[in-house]
Amino acid sequence: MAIQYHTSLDRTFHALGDGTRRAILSRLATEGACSASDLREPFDVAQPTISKHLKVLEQAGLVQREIEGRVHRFVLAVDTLEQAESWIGRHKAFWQGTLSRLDDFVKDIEHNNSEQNNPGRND
Amino acid sequence: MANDMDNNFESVTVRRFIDADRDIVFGAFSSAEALARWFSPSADIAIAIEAFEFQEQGGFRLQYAMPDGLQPTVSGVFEHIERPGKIVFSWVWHAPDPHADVPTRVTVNFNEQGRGTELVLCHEMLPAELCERHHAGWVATLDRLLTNSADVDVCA
Repeated sequence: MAIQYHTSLDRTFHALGDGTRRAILSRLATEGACSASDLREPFDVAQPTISKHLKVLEQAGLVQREIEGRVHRFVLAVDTLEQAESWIGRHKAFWQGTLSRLDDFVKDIEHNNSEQNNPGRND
Repeated sequence: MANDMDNNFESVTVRRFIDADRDIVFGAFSSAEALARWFSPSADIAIAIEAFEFQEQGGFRLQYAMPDGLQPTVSGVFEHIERPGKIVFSWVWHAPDPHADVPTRVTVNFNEQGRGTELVLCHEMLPAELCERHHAGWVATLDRLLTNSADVDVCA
């Protein structure tokens, strides 16, 4: 089945949702440019599998391919990763702030209710 | 393959204990009047509730007014409502927001905990395979909301 992605960010998260692909990214982050065969070394998988993962990462904009003659090298695309992190960071801050305001709102309601129902209540 | 690690990349979970009965906490989510009083991340960000239909397949549209003049708009559809334990809704920012049109889902669980309520909110990116189906549903609901705007609760 063909999967249609609505946005590049959606594709980014799809690409990140796989352990092997995240390990490839973390290797590129620490070692810089690597060839597909360099990247295969730590994994017990066939080269076509690594190539397939690299293709997904490339389509998601998470890695860039640099071609020098017959050698293809891959580098991390930092901007895209930052974009994905910004989604997480933004929404975490958004919900933490919003739930903190919910807490204040509920305290107000409880306070008003207890004053209305029983001003001298002491439980 | 899904596991806990993957979830960290695709979702945000926020937990908060609220010292109130869960009927009250749930109630804060279930009407436009209540929502207008708190549903923004900080007191200096105003919220206008442009549409709010609290029922399954009902839609909502909210516009925030940021201190810097930006006005992010978000809309979604209530996918599941289980009073007073759970609310599930879709959540999509509108252009020109940097995260416009990214299909996401928010699940809010209200768990009784002692005399209070533990609220667990999970905001997740939708699995890509499901996007088409959900997207079609949202578009239909939003179209209905916008064409029948006389039926929509507007509360700025």
